[in-house]
This record gives sequence, structure tokens and C-alpha cells, in this order.
Amino acid sequence: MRLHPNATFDCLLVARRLQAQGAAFTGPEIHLFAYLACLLWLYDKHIVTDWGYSFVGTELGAPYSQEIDSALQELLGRGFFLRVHDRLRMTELAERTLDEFTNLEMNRQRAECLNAACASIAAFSLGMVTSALSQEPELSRSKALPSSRLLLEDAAQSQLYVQFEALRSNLDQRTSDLRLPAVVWLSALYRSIASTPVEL
Amino acid sequence: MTNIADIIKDVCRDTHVPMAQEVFGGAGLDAIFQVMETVQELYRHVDLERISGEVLVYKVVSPPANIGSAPGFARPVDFASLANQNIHSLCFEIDADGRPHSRVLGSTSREEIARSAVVYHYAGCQEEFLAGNQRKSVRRYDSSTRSQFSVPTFGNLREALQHFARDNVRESTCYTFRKIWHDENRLFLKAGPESLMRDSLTQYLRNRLGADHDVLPEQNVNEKNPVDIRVQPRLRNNRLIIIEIKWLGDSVATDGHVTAKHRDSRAQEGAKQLAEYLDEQRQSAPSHVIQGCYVIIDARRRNLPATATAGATIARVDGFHYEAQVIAFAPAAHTTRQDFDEPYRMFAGPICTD
Repeated sequence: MRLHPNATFDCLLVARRLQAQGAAFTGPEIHLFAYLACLLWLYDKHIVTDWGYSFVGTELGAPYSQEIDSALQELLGRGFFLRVHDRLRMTELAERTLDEFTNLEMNRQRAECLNAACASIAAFSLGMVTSALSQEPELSRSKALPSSRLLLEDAAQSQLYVQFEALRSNLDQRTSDLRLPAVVWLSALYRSIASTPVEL
Repeated sequence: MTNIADIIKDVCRDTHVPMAQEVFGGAGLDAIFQVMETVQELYRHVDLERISGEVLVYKVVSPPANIGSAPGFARPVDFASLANQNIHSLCFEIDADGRPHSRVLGSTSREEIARSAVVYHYAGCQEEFLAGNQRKSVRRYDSSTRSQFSVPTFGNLREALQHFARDNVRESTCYTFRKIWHDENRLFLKAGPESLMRDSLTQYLRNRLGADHDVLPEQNVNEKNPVDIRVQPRLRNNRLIIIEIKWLGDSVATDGHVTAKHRDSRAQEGAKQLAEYLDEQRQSAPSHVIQGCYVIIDARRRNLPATATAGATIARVDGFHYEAQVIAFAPAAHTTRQDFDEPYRMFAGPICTD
């Protein structure tokens, strides 16, 4: 099977960042942070089709990408990742390959989004990032439906852009560093749960 | 419901990451992320309960300084080496490569350091960041941990449930769980405490189970419909874990009269209910792999008065009488069926007079 270049790069970069924080990582964590990175891509005023692959929201409110899933399976099959019990670890081959991919100019902007997404785990536990992101308008809407639905379609993005606009106006164009809006947004989404603990 | 735009505004005004960026620009943002990562790493190795004094971690943004007494940077600290030490206070400076170095500050205050650095300070479960002449306290979203930076991620539900008993239930540490009590000495429960127990466990699991699981509270809460939680692995649609919660002890109405006294038979009843529920689920969703976890919040006390009177107290011998008493289940579903975990009895202790 041919590897999807963007999804493969995203898997490798997110894996490295998560592995640096703990011993290993899981597939759902890769989907989650790739999706958060895609949202930051939109915040940064890129268009969604340029991200290169799409996500669906499951009825549980989790982001899922077929391309990420295929890339994960291929990376496992080709020895880039190893399975350790229920979790995954990168091999040296994956580290070397990622170093090469990271140097490519075409990956620079998406790496900024991916790094900013993963940086949020300096401020929150993985569970808190998961909970916060499930409050994001697109995933929140997918929980209300009985089946998976495509995320970030044009018509559905308006509520998301209202939140991005609120972020921009409060951050006052201070910085192009996406770590700041990522952490502020996740904090706000998490607080919105904390005020109503029995949500969903 | 609060508007998300208002919450974003509050976060920008009240929290440490925007502060560091506002004071020191991009260098401040780099610094605060390095400090947060270092603090997380530190707390992975050092239990905060063992620190009697304070923790200070800082990263200089614009070097002035002669901060502290260490001449230059010697060998970086390996946090693992601190794991079994008795610790009063800790102070670390992060170098340009992100490595921590021990510092002895002497008479230098953290406010002085903050003039040119992003500073993290912890003392007595309170955390704050300082940058320039600003300071922001850190909001702890999880009341059962001592630090926002020490919330662990558990690999599985069983491990998380065992920690919930210790972290939240035994001393009623969680803000939500604390509300189950009628009195401040934790002798009597409020009538109908189930929903608070469920909310406390739901939040705890959500904060700790990472991105692998979804934790969904059941919406219907009354005596006929079990208070329970569904935990579902995110990308394995055929797995489902059902958590049933029951409580033992005496509950009272607001005027102090006892509304329910639940003892061993109630625990048995809950086990039967969960077993039946698992059977039903197996029939309605035969392709699912379903596991049942039975959580018993044990708030039993010996020799309680007939009604809850203001200021009632209890001696340790009565308050903790039931703590070590194992409940004998007959039938014991957990020994006869594979889809039923051994019950998780969690003793919720009182405040005693001795």
C-alpha cells in the first residue's frame, strides 16, 4: 500500500512528541493530536483541503482519519513502530525518517501546527486535552448524531470560526506562535465543561 | 451557560501562558513551555506529598543576573535520583538546552528572579507563575492532585479505579465527591448522593484515561435505573465497560432524619443488578465484548445516632470499623463469570475525634 505522505509525516511527528512525554503512545492519541493540529491549521487561515486528508467524528465524539489509520498500520508493518502491549513505540528507523521529513520545506507549516498541538500536553493531562477537544463545535456536534460524520465541511465551520475570531481578538495578533491559541482555546473549552460537569 | 468567547477572554486575562508571552514575547512563551515540561517531568519522579517546603523552577529569558549561588552550569539534575529522598524544598534553573540545574537562592526572592525570568512556584498545593512584575496562580482543574502538572495518565481503567479509591474517596478529596456528605465530619450521606458519586468518578476517569477511552455518564438517575458510567475504547467499537456504582451507609434528609440505611444486602443487590444488566447487554449486542465493574462507595459507620444532629462526632474505632470488613458476596458473580471484575469497594472515611 502506498503511504499517504501527509498522514505519515503527521503520525511520525506526533508519535515523537508523545513519546517524549511518556513511554509510548496509542493510535487514538495520534488521531486526536493530528485533528487538533488540523484545527490550528484553520486558525492560521489555511484552507482545510490543504491539510491533505480528512477526519470524521465518531458517535463518541472522537476524531478519526482513515488516512491516519492506514498510515499507522503501514508504519507498524514496515517496522517504523513497534507494538508494546496496547501501546506503540517508535523505532530508530522512524526517528531517522522523521528527521529527513522535518527538513523538507513542504512540511514546515504543518509541523508548526503539529508541534503546537502536542505542546498542549505541557499544560494539561492527555485526558484533559481529550475532554476539552470533545467540546469543540465540530466534535460536539458529531456526538449528537448516531453515526460518524465528516468533520470540517464548509457549512459546518461557522461556529468554529466564531471561536477562532474570539481567540484572535483576545490575543490581539500578539504572536504567530500557535502554542498560545492552542493552550488558551483548550483551557476555555475545558472550563466550559467544568462549569457543567454532567454535560453530554 | 457561559459564552465561550467570555471564557476565552477570562483565560487570556487570568492564566500564566498568555502572561509569559505578554511580558517577554516569544522568548517568554518558549520559557513557560520549558518550565511546564520540566515541572511535569519533576513530578513524574518526585511525589509532591514528600515535599514539605516549596518548589521553584525558572528559566531566565533576558540574562541579567547572578541569580542563586551556583557558579555557571554544572551537571544537570537527574530527577530520578530524587525519587526516594526526603525533600524540604527544591529549586532548579533551566539552561539554554532545556536541562535543569540545582540552585540555592539564598536571599534572592522569586519576585527578583521574575524580573528577567519565567518562574514557577509551588507551596502547600498552591501554584503560581511569575513573569516580570506579574503573577498568576494556576487553576487546578483536578482537585485530587496536588498540582495541575501531576495529573497522571493511566493505561487502563482498572488501574484508574484503584487510584480513584485512594485519591478521591478515602479522604473525600474531590470537590464534587465532598458534596455527598450531610455533615462536616462525614458521618451521614445526603439523600440521593449517587449522582455526585457518578460525576466525581466520571471527571476523574476523563482526566486520566487519555485519548483511548470515552467516559460517558448515564443520564437517568433514580432508584430504578442504575447510576452507572459507560467507558468505551474510542477506536474499538465492539468493546464496552459498564461501571455500576452503589453506596453503603446512612443517608439523611436536610432535617437530619434517616432516609436510607444500606448495608451488605444492598451491595449484593447491586452485584445482581450488574450481572443482569450484563446479560441483557450480551443479548442486545452479542458482537460486543462487555465487561462489568462494580464500584461500592462504603460510608458505613458503627454506632451512629438515630438522627443526624448538628456537630455529631465519632471515635476512630466506630468510624473506621467497616474499613477492613470484606463483603461476602453469595452468589459471587466475579468468581463465576469472566465479564465481572472483582468489586471495587472504596471506603470513604470520616473525620474522627481521636
